[in-house]
Amino acid sequence: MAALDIINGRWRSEDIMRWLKTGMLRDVSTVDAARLENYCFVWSISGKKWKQDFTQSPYGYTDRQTDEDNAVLDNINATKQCIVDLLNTFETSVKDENASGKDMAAAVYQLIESAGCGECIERMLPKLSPQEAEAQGQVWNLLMNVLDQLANILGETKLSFREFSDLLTLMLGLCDVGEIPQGMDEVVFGAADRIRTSGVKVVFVLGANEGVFPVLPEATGVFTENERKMLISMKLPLTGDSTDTALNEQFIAYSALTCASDRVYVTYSKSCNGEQLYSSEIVSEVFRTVPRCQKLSRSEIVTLDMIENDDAGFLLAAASLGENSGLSKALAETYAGLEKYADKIAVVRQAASRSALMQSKEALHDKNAAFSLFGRNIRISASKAECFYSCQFKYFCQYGMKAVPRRRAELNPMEYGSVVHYVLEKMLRDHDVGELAAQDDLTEMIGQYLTDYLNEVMGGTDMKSARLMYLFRRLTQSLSVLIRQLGEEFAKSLFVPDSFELPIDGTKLQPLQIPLSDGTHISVGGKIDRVDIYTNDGVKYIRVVDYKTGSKEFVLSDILSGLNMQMMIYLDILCDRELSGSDYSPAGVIYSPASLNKISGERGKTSLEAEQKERLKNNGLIVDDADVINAMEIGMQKKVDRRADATTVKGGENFLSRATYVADPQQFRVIRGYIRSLLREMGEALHRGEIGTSPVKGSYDACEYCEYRIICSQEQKCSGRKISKRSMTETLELMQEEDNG
Amino acid sequence: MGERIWTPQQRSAIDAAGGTLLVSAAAGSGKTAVLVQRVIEKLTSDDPEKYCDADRLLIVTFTRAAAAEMKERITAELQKKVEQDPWDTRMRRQMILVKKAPICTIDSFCSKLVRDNFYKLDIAPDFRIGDDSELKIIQEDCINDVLERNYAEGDDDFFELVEQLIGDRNDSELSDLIKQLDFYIGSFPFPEDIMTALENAYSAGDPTGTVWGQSVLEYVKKAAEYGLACNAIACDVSASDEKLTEKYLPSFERDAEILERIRTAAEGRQWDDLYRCSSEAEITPLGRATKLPYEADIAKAAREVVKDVMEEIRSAVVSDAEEFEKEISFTGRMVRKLMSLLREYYAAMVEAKARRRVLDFVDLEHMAVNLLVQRKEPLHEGTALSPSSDYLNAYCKTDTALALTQQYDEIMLDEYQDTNHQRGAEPDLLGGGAQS
Repeated sequence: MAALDIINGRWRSEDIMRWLKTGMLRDVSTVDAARLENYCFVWSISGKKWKQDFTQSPYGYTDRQTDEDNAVLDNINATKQCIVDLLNTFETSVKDENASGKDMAAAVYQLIESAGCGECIERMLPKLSPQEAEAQGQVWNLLMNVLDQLANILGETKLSFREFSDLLTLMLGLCDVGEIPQGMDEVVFGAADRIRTSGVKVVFVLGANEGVFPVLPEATGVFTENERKMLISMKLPLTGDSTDTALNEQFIAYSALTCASDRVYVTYSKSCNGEQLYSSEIVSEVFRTVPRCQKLSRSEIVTLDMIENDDAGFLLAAASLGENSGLSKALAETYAGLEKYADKIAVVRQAASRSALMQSKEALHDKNAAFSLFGRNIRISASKAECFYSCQFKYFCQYGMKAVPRRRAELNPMEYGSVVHYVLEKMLRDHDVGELAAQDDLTEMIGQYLTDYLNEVMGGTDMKSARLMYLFRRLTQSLSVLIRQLGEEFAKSLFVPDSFELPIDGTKLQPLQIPLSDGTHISVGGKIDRVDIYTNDGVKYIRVVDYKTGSKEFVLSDILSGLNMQMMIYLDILCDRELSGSDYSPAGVIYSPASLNKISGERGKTSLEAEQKERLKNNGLIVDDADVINAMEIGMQKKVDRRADATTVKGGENFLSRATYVADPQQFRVIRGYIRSLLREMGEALHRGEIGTSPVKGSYDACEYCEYRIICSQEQKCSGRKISKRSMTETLELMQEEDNG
Repeated sequence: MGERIWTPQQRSAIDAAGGTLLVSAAAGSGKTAVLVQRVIEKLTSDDPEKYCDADRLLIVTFTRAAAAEMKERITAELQKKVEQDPWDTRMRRQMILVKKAPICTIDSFCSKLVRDNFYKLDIAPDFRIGDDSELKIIQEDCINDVLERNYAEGDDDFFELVEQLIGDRNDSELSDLIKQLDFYIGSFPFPEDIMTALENAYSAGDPTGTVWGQSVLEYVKKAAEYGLACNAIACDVSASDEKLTEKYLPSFERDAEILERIRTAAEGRQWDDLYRCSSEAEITPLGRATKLPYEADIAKAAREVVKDVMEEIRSAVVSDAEEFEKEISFTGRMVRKLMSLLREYYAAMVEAKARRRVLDFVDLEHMAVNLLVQRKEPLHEGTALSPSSDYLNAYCKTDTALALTQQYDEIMLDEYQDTNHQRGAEPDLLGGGAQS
């Protein structure tokens, strides 16, 4: 049916996947199908695109393509070609204007044949129970019969393929796969209207629910209830209206309930899929006629009675595991002792204690597992450290298990960040920063860089939708605002950009290495967005700049919880002679907003431009040195803000906001020491195998956009680690305490 | 449990006959009980005028559980009657009829109506109700298709709309807006009417000719009147004291003059005059003085209110007629584009759902409404925006509705309060047949 939908639905991927997943294609393995599906997901393949070759990287936007990637791509293309060939042949024969019903039925058979459905079923058979195998056989014969019938009935009749599909669907829908009632000893199962009611000793009536048994008569078929009534009143020979059916149903219920000579059991369910269900009149009738009959509900049934065999007992053991009852313990013990069940019960036990385990500190008991997941000598980037401190479990999923969600190749916030980084790097590297703001052809320049990005990373304009292209080109506007602002900023600053997208990978800069207690070490690297330098009297002052495309602001006290450490780590590395190979003096870290948010304002009162400038102001942490502060922005000075309990800046703050912190070199050292101890602690924790859920919550909620929420399923229960905004003085005091203690 | 004693009010609700009856009472005061009692008495009455078959009552409840409970209560009452007289064949017949009586939720009523009349609606008879996640995917796909098409071949208005709405990262604002509009418009019985009305609301012209201009005028007039009333207090108080008369009164009188000019302009619908008056209006500071009597405080307080009122008026009348017209015409272009996107989206949805033979409850309700009523005359140009416009005047019953009316003697609704515009329309349109 999926194959029919593919043709009718003009090759929608959804239908093709449905077809693949039937497992009825001989030449397509599950892995092949999964790879193909991922590719379609990433590149939003549908319709016409199926008929072209797939040329993009299977992993979305990327600037390099490895051999391995190419192999995967070849595999995907082979799979694709295989199904496209099948479908093409099929489509040509059924879409032929002269195709008759007979031809179409033949084409369907041909497709089934060439896809190798028969073989697939045969391969499947040994794994099935006799009944299931029987049913498979029935289905196969049924399908063949239906196709035969269609071919015979339609013959040379011409019809559209859609009509043919509808007919086929309709005919298959009318077929019933019936099983011959199974007799087990003398127990007979059957629908109330089909059973023989003589000589029965005990009757179980299942599902005595309102509207289910007795069935609520409902008009089906061509005539509605009223039409039926009308026709009957006109003396047309029609089977009874719904009143008659209702009466008949009552009779069936009556005979079912009364045919037993010894006992009657009536059951009904109380709910289904969360919806409350009601008992039918049978139940109330029984209570009325036999007031003394016994009523049992599921919870009242003695549990021991339910253990009829090993499996039933095991189910009960599993269900009651963790309950603090004698029965539960006895069951667990018994099954742990049975060879067949020992493993299973252990797994269940583990699953049951999972939530408890998540919270606990010692999760991976096997030290070697921790080593192989996280490395003996741990090598991380600064952003991974922040991930670890936002939630250990998240770190475990993302960098331990490397479970990464699929991403569509589209313009999402992440991709937006990469584009902005790319263009800013090129722009500042290739042009005189002081004159950027005055450039007339800024828009064209940006346009050119965007085109470069498109070709280098996004795989060219090939297969790009109009929507994507429009949104992508539109970035020019935002980028030119950003760049103008940067240009103006540099024009008023004594700092000059020195390096861009600078990697800390052992080439120019060495990662920060911190020894761990077991003789191993953790080393922290990363990539610095931009480094600016100001030289005065032979001293090179250095500041680390980070482009922020998100909306989160820099708060010093976040470092207490292990967040926002990244820039400080980079500054630490740069100012460490052994790591950077140069003598730099720290000037500070700067967070530079690199996205424009919508501004809402009141007519006549808000100036869009001024508001935008305000929002693009940088903030960060800078060193308490009048000369350096002045170099950041000419005319700026330090200001002690007693009310906010912080030291900040004043004067000329066109580009650096008042939310900037000013700290003296001693305080910088305190922060540095604190961060180093956090990194050390992280390494120790990883080697201890800690992977518990420990999200930070408060002024920042690590769970909010977490992609692993489903896996941890702790969101509601977990209170996490509190994080709150503190003043600068308080933050530094806390860090100092930690350092001393 | 003994026989229930009904209060006179309840009694009259049980007995009332002919015409529409609205029972409105506090929670727990027995509205549903009254309804059940009314049904029982009708089913068991010996009075041929009052008696009716159980399947000739349409009873609509809010939840399925409520429907089941209602059925159970009625059945139990009938059961009692049968026990009292096992040979009462009429009661036995009623018991069978009750089982298939249309006691249901509005959704299942609509569903049945649509299923019975599928051929009039040009839909497949074997439709099913889509589950939420499936419908969400269809919705997402349709929006994407519509947007993609417009990005590829859209006109200037489309791109202008995009620029108006979206931020710099993606265009989720646009698709979210379409979803929101769909949700809002879908809650009306006649979506097309609302969309047309929305478009018409921005037909450019003199500000006083638009709903927006009119409501501003109305508002300003009232605000000015309020300001004048406060000003009168300030004047009265000041006039009673010599010093105040000298220091304050002149300012207050100037205020009165300004407010009066504004009021006259608003009343006379002179937009540009109004704009000039309100934008030029200036509140002069009060003269400085010492040792004022305590009345001065009252006067000052009243003056504060007058100031606020002026400020409010200024923020309501933000532009002259020309500017206003320009803005309305621009907004109108955007709204019309938005509506055309919405129409494209609806068309895509209808097609996508038809392909899967899926409908949602909102569709069912719309289809049910369309089955039951038809418009007397097409919506004319410039119809003002009024969501709760009088359906009964603009619409009349279809033949289907008339035939359906014949099936029921009475329609009863439980929990009428929790319904929206959409649902509110349905009972009105079904009723009014035989006995309602």
